[in-house]
Amino acid sequence: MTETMEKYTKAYEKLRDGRRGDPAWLLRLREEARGTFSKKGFPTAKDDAWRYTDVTAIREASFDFDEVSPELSLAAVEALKRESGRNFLLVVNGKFSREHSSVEEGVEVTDLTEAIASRSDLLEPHLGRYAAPGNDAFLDLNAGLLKQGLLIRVPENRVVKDPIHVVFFAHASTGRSAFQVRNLIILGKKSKAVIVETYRAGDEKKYFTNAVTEIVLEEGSQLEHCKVQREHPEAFHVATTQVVQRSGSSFVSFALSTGARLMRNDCRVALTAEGASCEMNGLYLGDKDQVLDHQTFVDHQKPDGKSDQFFKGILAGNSRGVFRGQVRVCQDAQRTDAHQTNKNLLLSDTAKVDTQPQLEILADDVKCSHGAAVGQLQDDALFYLRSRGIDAKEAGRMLAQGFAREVIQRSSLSSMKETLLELVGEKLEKLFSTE
Amino acid sequence: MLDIKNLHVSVEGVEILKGIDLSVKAGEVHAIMGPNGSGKSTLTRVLAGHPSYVVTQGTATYEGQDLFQMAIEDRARQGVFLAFQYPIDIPGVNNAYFLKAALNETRKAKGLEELDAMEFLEFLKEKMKLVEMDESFLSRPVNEGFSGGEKKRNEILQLAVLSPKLAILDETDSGLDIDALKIVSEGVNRLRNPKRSFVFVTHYQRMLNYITPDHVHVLMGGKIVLSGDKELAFKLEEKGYEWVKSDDRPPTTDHRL
Repeated sequence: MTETMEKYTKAYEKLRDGRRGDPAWLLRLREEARGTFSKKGFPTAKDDAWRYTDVTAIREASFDFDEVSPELSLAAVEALKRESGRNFLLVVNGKFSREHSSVEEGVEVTDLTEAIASRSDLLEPHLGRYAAPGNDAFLDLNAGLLKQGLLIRVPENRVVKDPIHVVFFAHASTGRSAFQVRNLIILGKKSKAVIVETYRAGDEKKYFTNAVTEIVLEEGSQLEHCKVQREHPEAFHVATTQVVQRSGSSFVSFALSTGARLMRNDCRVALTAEGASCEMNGLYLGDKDQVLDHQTFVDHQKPDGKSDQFFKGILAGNSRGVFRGQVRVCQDAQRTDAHQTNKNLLLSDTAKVDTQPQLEILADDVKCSHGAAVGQLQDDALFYLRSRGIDAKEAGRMLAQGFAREVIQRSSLSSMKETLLELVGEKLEKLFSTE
Repeated sequence: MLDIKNLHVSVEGVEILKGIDLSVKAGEVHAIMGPNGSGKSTLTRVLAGHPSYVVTQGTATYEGQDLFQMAIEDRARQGVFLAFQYPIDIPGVNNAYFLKAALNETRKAKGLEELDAMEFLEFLKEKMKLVEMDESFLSRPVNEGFSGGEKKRNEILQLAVLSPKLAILDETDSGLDIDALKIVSEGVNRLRNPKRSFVFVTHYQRMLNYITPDHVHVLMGGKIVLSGDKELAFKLEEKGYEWVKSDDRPPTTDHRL
């Protein structure tokens, strides 16, 4: 048993003994998750879903699971707030910080710990049901220690005007801290909201964020979801977003990944009823030794569903990108319209990307397409820009920015485009200053 | 301004230019004509610094400097401009942003202050009138989705914005309908001045109906075989390039050859 596993088992036992009063369903969930994780351990290259990304560094880093609850300076909180806007929720090391958070009326935001005590009936049908134990080691790791996080609920017919910014802040890590982040988002029938999850750090220490967000979109609801991963360059980040869509609901997402030493981001969407639509966009920008692994799974279970995936990557230095996009169209899911595109730009000879589409189509009346491309900066385009007086480095940066811009502009996001463009600009500056 | 001597250029090991001599003085307009495959475009691209073209012999002196020792961007900053035969699409890069970046690079090289967004827009709108370009072009990505004529107008707009000393136009007339040709030619005419030189390369004589050159050169088989004044262009139009090779042609009128 590795040191990490030993520490994990201890943390689990401590939690179990300390919270015997939690609802029985939750005790079972934790126990089941811990059981499979202890048995199977961390994934290896033999697991198909992990064949491109080696997590030895996480397994052997001897992370510990003790809570770290730092005091944040007001200045730090204010700075985060300023970037976010009026709907601002702060989660520090996985724990919701109510005192620093505020949200417009009509949105229910509850500390998951409180909800476990007071709203068990609300949580039970959802929490840990979609991102269920036994499917993935990191999900199990997270569920085995599940006790805190965030519940966001938008009531029926409610339209939330401004984006809800949730900042997941890693702070005061011991250098070995593993933070478990857990969220449940429920949009009631015909409600509408924009939710932005941003993952970032307050200081320079190494840490490991393991985040799970379950999202339920009831009939006719519409969610725009941005996940901005800008963790510290030495951090490890593993995250799953599991979405369940009811009939006529719409999910538009954007995953921007610029940070972390090693990132794995899964976004899994189940279209469980007729006429649901999902649009997933993503952009990953890597340099140095970064590993940025995006995986998607769209499960068309019922007729007349739509899905459109568009992911792009820009990789410099020795960085590695992975895009593995799965689409399943079940036998019942006639008239499905499913598309997937992944394009990559490699800025160095040592950068690398693996792209793998996987389509499984069991219905016969469907429209499906997929495409993948890997390329470099076009010599002709570089020459054109340079012939106008723009130096080679700046020309490269402009072309890369243009490449990135397309995925942002093309998306149906109603807000956030400017913010995403700015973050991309910042990262590209770094990327081209070190090339 | 520009002195080319015995220039030999190869692409992928094949010699395209086989000893070009050409001298362009400030304020002069030179037309270089010739059949397809004679090396016209190669000449324009090698002057701008395209990396695929290898100079195997000869020199090009621009304003006293060895042009071939200058980086592509430095040539542009020092006032060399190439209007492309096939302007390149730059997806995701907004036309106005691109023009501003390019202008500010040349301004910096001249020791001038960079223009801010507002100043630039004022400046740009003036220049756009010159080529009758709609403002909607500014927010579109460079050349992407532009028609052939729009791309060529965009090249002349860049010429107007960057205000080079030496403008090299590569088949700017090709693919233009008569209206676009007029707009582009008038744009060029208005940009003519005693300090600015033009070298334009063309297959057909028709652009010369609008732009009157001081010198006309015929480029064939990688060499300038004949030079003259604008009358030469009309002769070529009438008799075709085959005539140049025949015995019937007049002696070279340009003494610099």
